[in-house]
Amino acid sequence: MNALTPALSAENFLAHYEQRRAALPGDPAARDAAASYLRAHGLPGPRDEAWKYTSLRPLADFAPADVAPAEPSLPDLGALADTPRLVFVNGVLSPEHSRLSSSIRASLPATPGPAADAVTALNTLLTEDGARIAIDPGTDAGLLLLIHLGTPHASAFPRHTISLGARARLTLLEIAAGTGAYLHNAVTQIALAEEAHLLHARLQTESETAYHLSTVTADIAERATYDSFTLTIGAALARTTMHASLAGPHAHAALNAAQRLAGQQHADFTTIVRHAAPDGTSRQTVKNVLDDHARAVFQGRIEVAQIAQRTDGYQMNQALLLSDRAEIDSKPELEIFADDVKCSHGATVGALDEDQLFYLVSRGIPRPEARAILIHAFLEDALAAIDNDAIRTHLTGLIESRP
Amino acid sequence: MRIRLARPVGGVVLFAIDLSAGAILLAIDLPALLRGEAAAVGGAVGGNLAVDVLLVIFSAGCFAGRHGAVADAVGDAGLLIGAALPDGIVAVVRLGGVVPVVINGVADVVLLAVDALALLRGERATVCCAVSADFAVDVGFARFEALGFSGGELAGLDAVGDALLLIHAAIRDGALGGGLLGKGRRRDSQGNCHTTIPSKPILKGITLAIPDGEIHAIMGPNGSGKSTLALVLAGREDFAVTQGSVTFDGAEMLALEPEQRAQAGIFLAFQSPVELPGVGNANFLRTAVNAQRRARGEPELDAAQFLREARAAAKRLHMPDDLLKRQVNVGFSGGEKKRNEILQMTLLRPRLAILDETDSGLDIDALRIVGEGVNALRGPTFSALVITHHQRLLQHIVPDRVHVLAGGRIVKTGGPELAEALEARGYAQVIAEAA
Repeated sequence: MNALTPALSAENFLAHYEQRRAALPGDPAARDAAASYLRAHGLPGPRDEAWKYTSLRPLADFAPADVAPAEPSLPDLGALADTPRLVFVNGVLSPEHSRLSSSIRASLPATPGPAADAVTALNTLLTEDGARIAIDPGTDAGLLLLIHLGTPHASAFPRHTISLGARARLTLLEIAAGTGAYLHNAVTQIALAEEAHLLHARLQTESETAYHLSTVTADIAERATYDSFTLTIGAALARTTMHASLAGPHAHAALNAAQRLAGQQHADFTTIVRHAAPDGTSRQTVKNVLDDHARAVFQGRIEVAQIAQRTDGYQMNQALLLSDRAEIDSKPELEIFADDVKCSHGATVGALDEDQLFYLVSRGIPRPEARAILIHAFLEDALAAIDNDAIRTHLTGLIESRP
Repeated sequence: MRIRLARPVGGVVLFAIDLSAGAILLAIDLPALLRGEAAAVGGAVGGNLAVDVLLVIFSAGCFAGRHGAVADAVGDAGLLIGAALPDGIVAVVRLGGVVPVVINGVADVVLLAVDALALLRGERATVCCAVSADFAVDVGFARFEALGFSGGELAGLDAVGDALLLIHAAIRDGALGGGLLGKGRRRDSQGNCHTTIPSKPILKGITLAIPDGEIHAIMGPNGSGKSTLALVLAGREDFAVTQGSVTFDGAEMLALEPEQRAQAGIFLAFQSPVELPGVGNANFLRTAVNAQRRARGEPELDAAQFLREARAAAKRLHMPDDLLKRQVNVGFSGGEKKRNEILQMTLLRPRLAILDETDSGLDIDALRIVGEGVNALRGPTFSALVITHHQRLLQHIVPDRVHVLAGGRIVKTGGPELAEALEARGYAQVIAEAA
């Protein structure tokens, strides 16, 4: 992006920051640096290559304001209702809703880190709270829920950090939900030490008028595994950016996703996988089911450094378009400097198969049910990659309850 | 950016795309692939228009089906080319009949997806072309019609050529370079369904009454309209019924949706059952049985009840135990697919079963098992229409009446002895005698 590129104004957020500055916790230096960044660059516009398909214009017009404290109710957690959980309301921890077990240490608040892009800078500018989850080496911390609830007109900027010591294990289900029009801009920084294993399931069921921005950065050490799955169902406008850095040999990252959109929804799933050490493996299966005027974006970048020999990368993006007006934009990018590498990627787009539909209805299955069966079948191999029965059942139920 | 040439040389289709910074050329012997034979693939890559040509030969011998043969064979070719390129990355994916070929060179990416099977059927097809520099990929679609081609393999070849010319024109006119870039659009499924052969009447007046409890056979040569009749009865919307009526149990069927006809008790055993990847066979069968029970106001079966019944029925049909656990028809042999149709019929207990060439592809044992499956349902409230080329299935399922269908009309009706006469003297003679 050069200086001449017209960008969107971040003025609303900067003004809000000036008002709130004295009340915000922690060291103001990082926030001031973020403010400088936003004054100089604004929000990214369509000329910015990383934002070619997703417009943040609605955000430039969003007026952040203080809202009265609210106590929204939790979404239906089904069989996961008794699982330990951290619950944030409008970016701030809600002790009443939270339920912690002794095996997880969570200390708050997190301190803002430096900003490398506008979305992270916005978070840095205004973050108030966040989870800091640290799992001791060799500990299996089991399953934890990290829930964020938004309420009408709120703007929330939680900043989470998750670190797993050597050989530690954690299964984390993140849920974003809420009511009314609000902005939820979360930044999550993850560090996995040697042989650590994090299963990170992410469920985005924001209200249909909400804006959802999330940025995840995962640093993966030798023989550690970052296994993520992102299910996007909600929000009017959503952008998820995931950075996975395979920093040690034999590291593994999975950035799988499913997006089920309808109406005027727009959802963008952008990944950057950096293979910076030899013998790493990365897997991305991204499935989109789009109805009405919905639009989905997948941008997947795989970088293989010269040192990262014997890298094995796989990326697949598939879309099932249920309407003539739905749209998918797919942009795979591969940048490979090593010479002994196995990388593959592919993209498909199609409609429901009329022969398959006829087969189902000819057995007496009503057409809407037959469509649902085929949609579920399309998503099946992405869902099957979720290596936790309780979470997979919960997410599958949510997809099936969509019309 | 320009496309240099796209021309058939013998049976080989040359895809040639010439970018400003590099060139990729891919030649695949499509007709050989479709015959399931080994085919040669030539790939040429170049930077700054210096073209290197390499040739790889691969074998399609290990591919089972026609669809799979094309997609997988092309895939393997792509992988071989990929291995030959020092920094190349190749991936091939398949959806329905679309064969996208993705080639990723050092500085450029070219993606070509051609619905080869649609082309060979003489139908319209969608061609997807993506070109890029510096790894930013934009996807454009060009849609073209295979109009004017007489059908068969040559139509496919020329149509592929035309597709590239259209892409060329679109790039020249800026359509692919500008407006269409970055958009993946839904294939126009209606448009794709139209065949370019002008519509012609297939069934030309069929009067047929099947009393309760009777089994009728329809025999006839290829192209006589047998399968069309089966699909029209089951409610397939691809065919326009211009006149007449279909009454079942006193009710008019033509106004009903396919699912309503099934719920009324009509069952079609498909000639070529489709595969449903991602759908479990047991779940599918239970969903179907319960949908019909619901429609009739009967209580639904729970999973355990259903499984007991399904396992017993599968055992009677000598089907392997794991067949219920597998995905519907995926990886099934031809005989297993047909037996799976009979299993569905057994569990759904239709009052009219239409068997569309259920005998094709069955060995002698499977034929007997299918016959037993149908005979087990025989009774005063079960009737069947058995469509077949051959008399041998009718030795197991002895029909009450045999009808000969030719040119969209029933030309002769008789008892079981008519099937034997057809077997002995051939269709041509029997049809000539009837005329």
